[in-house]
Amino acid sequence: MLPSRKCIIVLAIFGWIVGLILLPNLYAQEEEVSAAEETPKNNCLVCHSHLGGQLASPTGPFPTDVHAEKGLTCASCHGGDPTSMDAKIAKSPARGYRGRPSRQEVPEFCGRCHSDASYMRQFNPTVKTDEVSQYYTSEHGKRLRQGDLRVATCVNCHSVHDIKLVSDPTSPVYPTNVPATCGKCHSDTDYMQGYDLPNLDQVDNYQKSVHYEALTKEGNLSAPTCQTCHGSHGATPPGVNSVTDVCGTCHSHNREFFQGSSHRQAFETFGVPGCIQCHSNHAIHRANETMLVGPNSVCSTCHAPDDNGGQSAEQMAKSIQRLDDSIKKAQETLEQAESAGVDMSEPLSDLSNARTRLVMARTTIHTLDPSRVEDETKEGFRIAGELEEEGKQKLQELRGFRQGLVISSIFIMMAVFGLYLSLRQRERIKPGNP
Amino acid sequence: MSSREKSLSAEPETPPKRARFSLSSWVEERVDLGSVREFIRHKTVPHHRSSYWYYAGGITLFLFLVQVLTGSLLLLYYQPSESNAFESVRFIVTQVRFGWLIRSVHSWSANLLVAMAFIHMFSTFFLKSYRKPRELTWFSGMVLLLLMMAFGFSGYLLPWNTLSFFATMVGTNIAGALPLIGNFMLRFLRGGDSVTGSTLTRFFGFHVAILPALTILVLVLHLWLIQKQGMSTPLQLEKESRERGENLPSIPFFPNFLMRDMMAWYIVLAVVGWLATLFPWELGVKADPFASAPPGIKPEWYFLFTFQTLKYIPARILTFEGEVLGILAFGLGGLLWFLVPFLDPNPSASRWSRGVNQAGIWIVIFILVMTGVGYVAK
Repeated sequence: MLPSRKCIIVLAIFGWIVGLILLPNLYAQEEEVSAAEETPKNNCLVCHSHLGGQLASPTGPFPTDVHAEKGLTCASCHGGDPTSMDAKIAKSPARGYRGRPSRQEVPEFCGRCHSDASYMRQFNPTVKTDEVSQYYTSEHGKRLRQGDLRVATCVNCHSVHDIKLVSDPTSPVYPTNVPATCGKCHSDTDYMQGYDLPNLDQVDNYQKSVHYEALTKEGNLSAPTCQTCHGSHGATPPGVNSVTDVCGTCHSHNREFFQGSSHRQAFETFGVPGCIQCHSNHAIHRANETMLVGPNSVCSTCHAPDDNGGQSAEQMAKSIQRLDDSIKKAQETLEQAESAGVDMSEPLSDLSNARTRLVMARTTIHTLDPSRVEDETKEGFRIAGELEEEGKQKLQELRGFRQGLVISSIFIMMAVFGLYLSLRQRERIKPGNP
Repeated sequence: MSSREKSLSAEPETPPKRARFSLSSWVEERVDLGSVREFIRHKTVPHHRSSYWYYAGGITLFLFLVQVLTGSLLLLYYQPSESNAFESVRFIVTQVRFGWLIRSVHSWSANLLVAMAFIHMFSTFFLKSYRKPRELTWFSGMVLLLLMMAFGFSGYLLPWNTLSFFATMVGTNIAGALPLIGNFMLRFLRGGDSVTGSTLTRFFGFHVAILPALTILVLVLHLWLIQKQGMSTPLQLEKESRERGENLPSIPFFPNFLMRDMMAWYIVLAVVGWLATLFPWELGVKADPFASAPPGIKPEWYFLFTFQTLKYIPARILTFEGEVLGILAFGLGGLLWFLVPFLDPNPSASRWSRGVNQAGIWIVIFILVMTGVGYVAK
C-alpha cells in the first residue's frame, strides 16, 4: 500500500529539518583557535596614537607597512625601548634611541639595514643592497651631499611608515605609479625653480608615448618608465653618447644596426644624440614607415627627397608598406572566416610570424640598406599570402556548405510535406479516424 | 476439386516453384513475430487538441539518437588527456572533413535535448500524466532527465577549454558543499583535490561508458512502460468524452503517429543543421589550470538557475551556512518534484491538485527568471 500524501510530505520535511539540526554538528568546520602569540608590547604606538597631529600620524598606516608585516617595529628603525611606558626611558640614548633622522641622514638611516647584505638576505636572498651607494652617484644624492635639502631621498619616492613592496600595486614605485611619483617634483614648476632643467614636460610627454601605452593600456609592466632609462636609485639623465646604449638595452637589434650604419659616424660628427634625434626622448611614438616619407618624415630633416638618403628612405617605406598591407588583408580575410564561425585561431596565430618579419623589416631600416629591408619583407609576404589564401579557401568552403544546407533543407521540407500529404490521404480514406 | 488441385493434376511433372526468398518469412520461420505485428496493428494513440505534447518525448528520443551517432563519430578522433584533449578537438574542427559540423551538431543537439526533456517533463506535469498507473513512467523519466544533465555536465569539460575548466571547478565545488557526502563527492568527481587531467579522464569515462549504459537501461524501461500503458489523456478531455458518452478519438500508431513523429524529427534535424552551420559551437582557449579564473564564469544554462539562486543566498543564515541551506532546499524541492505522483495521486479539480498545478507554474516562472537573471548578471 502506498503511503498517504500527507505522510510523504511530513516525512520529507521532517527529514529536512533533522538534517538541518544535525548538519552544523556534523559539517561544522573546525574553527581555528588562533593562539594569542606572546609578542613584546610596542608602547610607541600606545603613546603616539594618543598624541595627535604629526606625532600620531605614523601609527595609523604603519601596521600595513611592509616592515611591520615582516615583524619590525618602530624601535627597529628609531631605536629606544618600546616596552617602557616612561617616555624618558623609552627614548633614552642609552637604550639605543636614534629618533627621527634629518633629511640628510635619511639614506644612511635606511641603509643601516638595506645596505647590510647578510641582514637583508633573511627577507629576500636575491635582494640588492647597493641602493645607498647608487643613490650617492645620482643627481639627487650628489646634491644632497652638497646640502640641497629639496632633492629626493628614499622617503620621497617610497613614502614613509606606509612603505609597500615594489610589486604592490599601491606602492608609489610600482611601475604604473612611477611617472606620477617622479612627476610630483619634476612636473612642479615652483618646486623645480632654481634647477637648470630645460623644461618640465617630461611626464606629460611620456604619457603620450608608446612606452606609456604599453605600460597602461597593454598592462606590460616591463615597459619602460622613468627609472628604466634614468636609473632608479642612481637616477641621472643619460648623456649624448650613451643614449644608444640606454635604448639598446631593450632595442638591441636597432642599436646593432645603427652602430653599423653610416649614421653613427655622421651623428657623432654633428654631436647629435643617437636614437632621440629621430624618435624624441620622452614622447616616443610608435615607429612606422611614415617616419621615412611624407609630411611626418624625420629623414627629410637632413635629406632631400632626391638624394641618396631620400631615395633609400622611399624604397624602404614602399617595401614595408606593401608587407603591412598584405598582413592587413590576410588578417581581414581570416577574421571574416572566424566571424562566420570557422575556427581560424591557428592561422591567426601564424600571422604573428608575418608581423615578426614586419617588425624586423622596420628594425632593419637602421641599417639604411633598402635591399636588407626587402629581404625581410619577402618572407613576411610569403606567410601573409599563404594565410590569406587559406582564409579565402575556408570562406569558399563555407559558402559551398551553406548552399548544401539550403538544398538539404529543401529536401527535408519536401519529405515533411510528402509525409503530410500521405497522412492526409491515409486519414481521408479512413474517415473513422480524424 | 479445387482449382489448385486441378492445376496440380494438369501438370504433374512440373516441379513445384521455389518460393521467392523473403526476409520477413525467413525471420518468421525462426522467430514468431506475430505478436509484435499484432501489437503494432492494434496500437493506437489518442488524438485530441493537446496531443501535440506527445511529440516532445519523441523529439527528445530523436535528439538522443543524434547524440549517440555524432558522439560515436567524435570518438574516432577525440583524445581524453590533459595534454591532447583540446588539441584533438581543435583537430576535429579544423582538419577533419565536416568535423566542425559533427562537433557543432553534437553541442547544439545536446542543448536542445535537455531543453526538450524539460518541455516533455513540464508537459507531463501540467497534463497530470503522472497519475496512476503511470507513476513509474514519471520516475524513470525524471531519472532520464538527471542522466541527460549528467551527460551535459560531463561532456562540457571534455574540450578542456578555459570556460569548461572553470565551470567544472564551480560545479564540483557546489557538489562539494553537499552535507555529509560533499567531500567524498568532490574527490570522486575530480579524482583528486582539484580539477586536473584525472577529472578529464574520469568525466570521459562517465560520458561515454557509464552514463550511456545507465541511460539505455532506464530508456528501455521508460519506452516499455509507455508502450505497455499507452499515452495518457488530459483529465479535462477524459471528462468531456465521458459526458458525451463517447470514446476519445485515436489514430493508429503505425504508420499515422509514427509519420507525424517523423515530420517533427525532420524539422528538428533541419533546425539543428541550421544552428550548427550558422552558429558553430566555439572551441575557446585551452584551459590553463594555473591561470586565475576569468570573470563571469557560468555553468551550462540548465544549471544556471540553481547557480544564480545560490549566489543570492547570504553566506550565513542564523547558524547555518547559506550555501548548504540552499543546496538542501534545492534537494528538498527536487525530492518533492520527484514524488509528485504520490503527492497528487488522484488529480481532479480538487483544491489540493490545483495547488500542485500552481506550484508548478511558480517553479517554471522561477526557473525562467533566475536563468534570465543568470545570463544578464555579471
